[in-house]
Amino acid sequence: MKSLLFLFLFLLLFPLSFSGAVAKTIAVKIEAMQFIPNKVQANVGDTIEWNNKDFFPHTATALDKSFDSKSIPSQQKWVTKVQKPGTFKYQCLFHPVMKASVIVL
Amino acid sequence: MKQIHSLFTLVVTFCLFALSALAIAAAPNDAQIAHIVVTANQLDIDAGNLAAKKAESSEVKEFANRMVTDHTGVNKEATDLVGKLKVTPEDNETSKALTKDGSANMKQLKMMKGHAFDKEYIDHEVRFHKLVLKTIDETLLPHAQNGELKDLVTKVRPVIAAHLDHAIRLQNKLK
Repeated sequence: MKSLLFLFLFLLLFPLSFSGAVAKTIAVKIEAMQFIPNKVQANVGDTIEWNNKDFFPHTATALDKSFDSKSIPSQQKWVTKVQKPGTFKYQCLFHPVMKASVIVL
Repeated sequence: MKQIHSLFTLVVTFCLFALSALAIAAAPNDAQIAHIVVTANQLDIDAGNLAAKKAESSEVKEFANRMVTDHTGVNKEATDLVGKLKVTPEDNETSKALTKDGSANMKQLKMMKGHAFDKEYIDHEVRFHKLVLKTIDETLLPHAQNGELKDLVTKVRPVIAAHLDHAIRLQNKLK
């Protein structure tokens, strides 16, 4: 019975010991023609959430096309899970002045 | 003597009228500010709709469509706020000047086509967005009384600045 309990605890804690940290969600606000914050840092497996607070659509499109939200309507969100490490510069395809980056560790 | 007095009264009345007109132009109230915001947006939507149909370059067409989408979004927000604040937008000298410029622009654009149209449309967009930025900085922001109206104008300013930046890039490409 005791060994079963150990096995249960081992199975429960085993994945955590490898993942290091629990995946988190990082919020980026799109407002007044800016991505706020302009630079975010994430770990592989984290989720980035863009929330468009402007009065019209925007996109969050990686320059290397590793992610592309397509049009995010006003007052709506778009999320993506980052899968590979690196620095990803992105922009709004509708408004070329809007540029930012995601650093994935 | 009576005639001199009448003349003096007339001169004073005229001066006061001229000053009040200047004061309106310099210090609009919230109802006038709301009118300026809606007018400026609508003028750019009208020019954008025309350019979306007539422009030769796909980039200019795309820009025109963007102007229609963005300014329609801003105008919806402005109209909603005006309704919420129970303000009736009031015509004024700044709105009239913008409308006069917008009408002349449309008249000119309707006579043009091809590359010349694209250039004229973008040149005007650059001038128009510069003028709107100046109006925001010198007239709207310093005089808006209602906090929500001021917030709206504050949020619109970077939109106009980004559009200006975009228009200048296109202007350089069209040279």
